[in-house]
Amino acid sequence: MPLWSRIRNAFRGDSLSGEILEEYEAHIADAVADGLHPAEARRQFGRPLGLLEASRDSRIVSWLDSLRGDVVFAWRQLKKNKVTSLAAVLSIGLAMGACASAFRLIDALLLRPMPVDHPERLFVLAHEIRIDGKTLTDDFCAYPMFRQMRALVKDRAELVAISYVSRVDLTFTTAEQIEKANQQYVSGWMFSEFGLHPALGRVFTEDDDKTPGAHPLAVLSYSYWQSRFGGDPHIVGRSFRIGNDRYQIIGVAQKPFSGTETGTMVDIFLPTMMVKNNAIARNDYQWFRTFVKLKAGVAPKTVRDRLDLAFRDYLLEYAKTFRTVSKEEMQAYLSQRLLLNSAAPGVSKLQADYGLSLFVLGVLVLLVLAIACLNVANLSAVNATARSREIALRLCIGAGMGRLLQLVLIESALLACAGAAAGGVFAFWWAPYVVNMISSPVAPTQLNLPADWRVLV
Amino acid sequence: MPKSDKLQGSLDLLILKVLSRRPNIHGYAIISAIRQISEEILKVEDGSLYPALHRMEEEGWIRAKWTNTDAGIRRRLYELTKAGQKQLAEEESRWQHVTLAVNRVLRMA
Repeated sequence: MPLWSRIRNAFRGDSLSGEILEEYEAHIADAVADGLHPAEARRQFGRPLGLLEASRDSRIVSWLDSLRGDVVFAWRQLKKNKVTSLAAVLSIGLAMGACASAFRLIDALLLRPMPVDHPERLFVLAHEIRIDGKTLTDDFCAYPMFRQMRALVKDRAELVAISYVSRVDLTFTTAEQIEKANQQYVSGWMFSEFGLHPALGRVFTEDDDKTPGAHPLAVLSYSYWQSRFGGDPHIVGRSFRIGNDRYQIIGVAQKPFSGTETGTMVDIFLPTMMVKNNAIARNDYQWFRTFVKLKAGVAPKTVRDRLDLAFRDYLLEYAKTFRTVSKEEMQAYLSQRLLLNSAAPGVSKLQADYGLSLFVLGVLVLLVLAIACLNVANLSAVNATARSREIALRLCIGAGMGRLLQLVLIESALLACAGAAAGGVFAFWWAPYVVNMISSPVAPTQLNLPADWRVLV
Repeated sequence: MPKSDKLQGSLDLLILKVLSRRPNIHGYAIISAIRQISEEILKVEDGSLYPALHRMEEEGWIRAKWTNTDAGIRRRLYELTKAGQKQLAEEESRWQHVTLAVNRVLRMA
C-alpha cells in the first residue's frame, strides 16, 4: 500500500486535504459534544493548517505533488503563449520528423536484420579484383564452384545459393492475362537454414532442389499471397506459367520474409535447379549470390580460408578458357580476394547505390535538427527574459533554485514531447514518399518500413 | 509535566497500545483513552495525534476506514495491522529498556 497509495494521493491532492480536514472537524465536534466550548476545543486541537501539511506530507509523495503542480502550470504557460509554443513545437517536430524519416530509411535499407534465424551468423561471399589501380567487388557466383565450396565447409557452415531478383511475366489463368511478378531462385534448403516456416502448405526442402529441371514448384511470399490472392487459403496446388513452363504452388512462406535483396520484395521463390540455360553445370554463368550461414561458434575467418581453396581452384580452372588476355589482366584475375561480408540486413544493389547518399542525408538532417533546437533555445531565452519579473517574485516568496529549475525543465520537456509527437507523425508520412521517388514502375522498390520503437529510439 | 513535544517519542507507542486494546475507534476516542488511563497526566495536543496516525497508516502499522455515524458525520476508524502488532511489541520492549536504564541511573547516581 504505502508507495502506490501515496502516488495515487498525489493526484487527488484537493480531495485528500478535504478528507483530512473532515476528520479534524469530526474530532472537534466530538470534543464539543463532550462539553467543551467550541473555541476551547479548537484551541486544544492546535493549528489545523500546520497539522494538515504534516498529514499530507506523510500521505503523499511530495515531489510528485509538486511535479503535478508544475506540469499543470507549464501547460498553462504554453497555452498562454500560443504562437511561440506552436512555432517551437512545429520547428522541433519538422526537424525530428526529417530525422526520423531519414533514419527510418537508413535502418530499413542498411541496418535492420532480415527476419531470419541468427542473422548475425549470415554472410555473403564477394570477390574483390584490382584492375588499373581500381578495386571492384562483385558477389555473383557460378554453380560448380558453389557445389565444391558447399562440400568443403559442410561441417562448419551451410551455403545457400540465392539468385538476383528478376521481374517476369506470368499467367495464372489464360495466356491473355499476363502479369508481372518478382521471382527469385533459391536453394531448396534455404528455408530450413533461415528458420522460415510455411504460413500455408509447405516450403522447399533439399529434395525439391536436386535434379536440374525436375522441380517445377513454387513458394509464394506472404506479402504476395496477401496482395495478389487476398490470402486465399486454397492457393496451394494451383499453378501458373512463366513462358512455356508450368509451376505448381506448394505453399506460402511465413511473413515478413520477402527475399534477401533489401529494397525488392520477392513474390515467387523457385528452386535453383529450375534456372534455364544449363546454369547448374556452367562455369561461365554467374547468376547468384552465395550466402554462408555459419554453424554456432564458428569463426568467419576459418570458413573463409577454406572457401578460398575452392575459389583458387575455380579461378585456375576457369582461366584456362581465356584466350586473348594480357598478362596483367590474368595476374589481376588470379589474385582476386575472397571476402565474407555480413549479410544480416540483406544484400542488394540498392544498398550499394544509396548507402552513401543516405549517410550524407542523415548527417544533413542531424544538422537541421541542431538548428531547430537552437531556434527553440532562442525562443525560450527570449521567453525567460520576459518572465524575469515572475521568476524574481517566485524567488522572493521562497521558491528554491531546485523548484525553479524544475518548473523551467518541465516546460521544456512538455515542448519536447509535443515536438516529438509531431515529428513522429511527420516521419510516418514522409518515409514512404522517398521510397516511391527512387522506385520505378519497371523495378518497383519496396521496403519494409515498420514504424516501430526501433525507429524512434 | 511532559508536554506534547516531550511525548513525541512515545506517542506512537501510546496510540498502538490503545488500538491493540480497542480496535476500530476514531481519533477523538484514542486521545480520550490516553487522557483517562493516564489520569490526565499525559496530555497530548489533540491535533498532533493526526499526523502521527497518518504517518503510521502509511507505514502500514494501522489501517483506517470511513464509517457513517447516525448523526451524519463521517468518522475515520483505526485498527492495528499485523505489522502494527509487531511494531507495538518492539516499541514496548524498547520503552521498558529505556525506563529501566533511566531508573537505574536515578537510583545509583
